[in-house]
Amino acid sequence: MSEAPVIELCDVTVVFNEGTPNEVVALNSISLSFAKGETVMITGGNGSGKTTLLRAIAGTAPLKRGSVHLCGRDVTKWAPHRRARFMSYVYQDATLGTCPNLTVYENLRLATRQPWWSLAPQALSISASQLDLLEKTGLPLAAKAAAPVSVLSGGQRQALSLVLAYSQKQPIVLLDEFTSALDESVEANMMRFLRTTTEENSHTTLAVTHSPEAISEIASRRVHLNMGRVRND
Amino acid sequence: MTIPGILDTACQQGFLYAIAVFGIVITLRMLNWPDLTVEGSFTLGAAVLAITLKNGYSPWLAMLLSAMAGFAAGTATFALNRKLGISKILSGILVMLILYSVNLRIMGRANISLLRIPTLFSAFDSSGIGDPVRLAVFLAIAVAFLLGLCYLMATRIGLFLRATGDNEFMVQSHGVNTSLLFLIGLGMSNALVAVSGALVAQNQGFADIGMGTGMIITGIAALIIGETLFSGLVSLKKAFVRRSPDKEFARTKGIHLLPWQSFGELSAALLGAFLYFLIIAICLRVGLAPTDLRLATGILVILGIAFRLKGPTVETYMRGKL
Ligand SMILES: Nc1ncnc2c1ncn2[C@@H]1O[C@H](COP(=O)(O)OP(=O)(O)OP(=O)(O)O)[C@@H](O)[C@H]1O
Ligand SMILES: [Mg+2]
Repeated sequence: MSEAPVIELCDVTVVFNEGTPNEVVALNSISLSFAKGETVMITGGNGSGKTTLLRAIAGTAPLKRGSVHLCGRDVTKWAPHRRARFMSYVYQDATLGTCPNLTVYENLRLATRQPWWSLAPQALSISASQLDLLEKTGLPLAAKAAAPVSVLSGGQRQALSLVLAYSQKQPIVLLDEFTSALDESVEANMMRFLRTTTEENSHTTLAVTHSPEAISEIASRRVHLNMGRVRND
Repeated sequence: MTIPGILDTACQQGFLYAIAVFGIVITLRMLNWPDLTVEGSFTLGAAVLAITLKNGYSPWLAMLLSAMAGFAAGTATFALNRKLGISKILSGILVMLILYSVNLRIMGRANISLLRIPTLFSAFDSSGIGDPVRLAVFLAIAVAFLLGLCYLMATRIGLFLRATGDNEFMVQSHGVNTSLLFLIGLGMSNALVAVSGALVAQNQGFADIGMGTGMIITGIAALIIGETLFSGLVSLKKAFVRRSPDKEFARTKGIHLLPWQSFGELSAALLGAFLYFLIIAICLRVGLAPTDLRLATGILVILGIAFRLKGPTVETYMRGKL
C-alpha cells in the first residue's frame, strides 16, 4: 500500500536550554516515518533522546528545526492539546498520566470522547468498554472506582494511565517505558492486551523500552537511538 | 420574633460573604491557584454597583455589571500568568494593587453611601418586614449559589475544571486547551467575589474602598473552620458506622461516584462563613477591640490548620496545602 505515513518526522532537531551553558542537543536532525499499524520499539541508553523523540511528536519539546506531520497534516506549529486528538501518550513518570486527587472513575470520565464544555450532568457509571479495559489489567482497579487515584500504588497508577490511553482509540499510541512499574503478571496481561488491540484497531505504536525481549514479539521494527541520532533502524 | 443581635449579624454577613468564599474555593481548592485578586474584586463589585445605582440604574443591572467587572479582574490575573509567565501569586498581587486605584477612580472617593437609593434589599427597609425574612432571603441566595455550583461540579465542565487544577499536563494530553479552563475558573471565581461585594454593600448601605482588604484570609478562615468541622463530623460518623474496607470502594456506579469532595468543600464554605462571622461577633461582644480582629482571624486560621494536621511531614511542607 502506498498510504501516507501516519507519523513523519523530517530533519527534527531539538535543543534544550539553547544559548546557555546547559545547552543539550537532544535530537539531531532525525528523519523517520512510521506507517499505519506499525509497532515500533525504540531503544537506546539513558539520555539518548527516546523521551524527547516522543515529546517532539506530542509537541512538548522545543523544536529548533524540522517538521512533524501526523496523519498527513503538518502539525509542526500546533499546540500540544491540538495534536492530542491524534495520539495517546503514556508517560515514563506514571504520576503524569493521572489526576491524583480525582477518583478512578473521574479519571476514566476524562478520557471519554465528549466535548469538555458540556453542561449536562455526568453519567454515573463506567462505560462497559472501560470496565472491560480495567479488568484486562488483572488489577482490582474497578473495585476502587470511587477512591482517589492517590491511594493507588505506583504500578496501579501506571496500569491506569495505560487504560486511559487505550480507551480513546486514537490512531497513534506513544508508550514511554510503560512497563517499568508493572509486575510480571500485569505486564504479561498488558502485552497480550496490546497485541490484540493493535491488531484490531491498527494503531501506530511507538514503544520506548529498556527490555527489548519483553516487547520484541509484538514489535515489527526497532529504532535504536544514540546521542540524539538514529543508529539502527 | 426577634433574633439575638449576634446571631443576626453573623447570619447576614455569613450568608452574603459565603458567595465570595465559594469563589475562593474554586481557585484555591479546585484550580490550585491561591488567587489574591479577590481582595480587589470584592471592592470592585461594590464600587461598580454603587456607581451604577448612584446614576439611577436598576439594581439588577448593577449586579450584572459587578459580576462582569469581577470576571474581567479574573481575566487580568489569568493574562498576567498565562501570557506573560508571571507567577500565579504575583499576578494576583499585581491585579489587586492595580484594582485599588481603579476602584478609587470608579467611586471617585473612598466611600459612597447607598442610603435613600433603591437597592435589591430596599423592600426590607420600607415595608417594615423584620429581620427573619431578610435572613431567610439571604440564606436562600447563598443556598441557591451553593446548589448551582454543586451542579456545575457534577457536570463535565466541572470535572475538567478540577482536573486542570490537579494535573494540567494530563488534561492537555486529552486534547483540551487548559488555558481556557483557567480563564473560566478564575473569571467565575472573581465574578462570585464581586457579586458578594455588591450584595454586602447593599446590605450595609455603603461601598467603601477598604472593604475587600483581608478578603482572602477571611475566606480561608471560613473555609478552614467549615472543613475542620466537616472532617470532625465524618470521623464521628466513621466511629459509629463501620464498613469493611473492601466494600468501601467496591462500587462502579451510582451516587457515590458524584464529586462528594467538592460538594463538601462548597458546603464547608457556607457553614464556615456563618461560623466565622459568629465567632467574630462573639469576640466583639466580649470586648475585643475591632482593631484586634485581624489578629483574631490570623490565630483562628493557624488554630484551624494546627487542629487538622496529624504531625507535619515532608509531604505537607512540599504541598504547602492549607
Ligand atoms: N527538560 C529538559 N531540559 C533540559 N534538558 C533535557 C530536558 N529533557 C531532556 N533533556 C536532555 O535531553 C537528552 C535526552 O533526554 P531524554 O529524556 O530524551 O532521554 P531518554 O532517552 O528518554 O533517557 P531515559 O532512558 O533515561 O529515559 C538528555 O541529555 C537530557 O539531559
Ligand atoms: Mg526517557
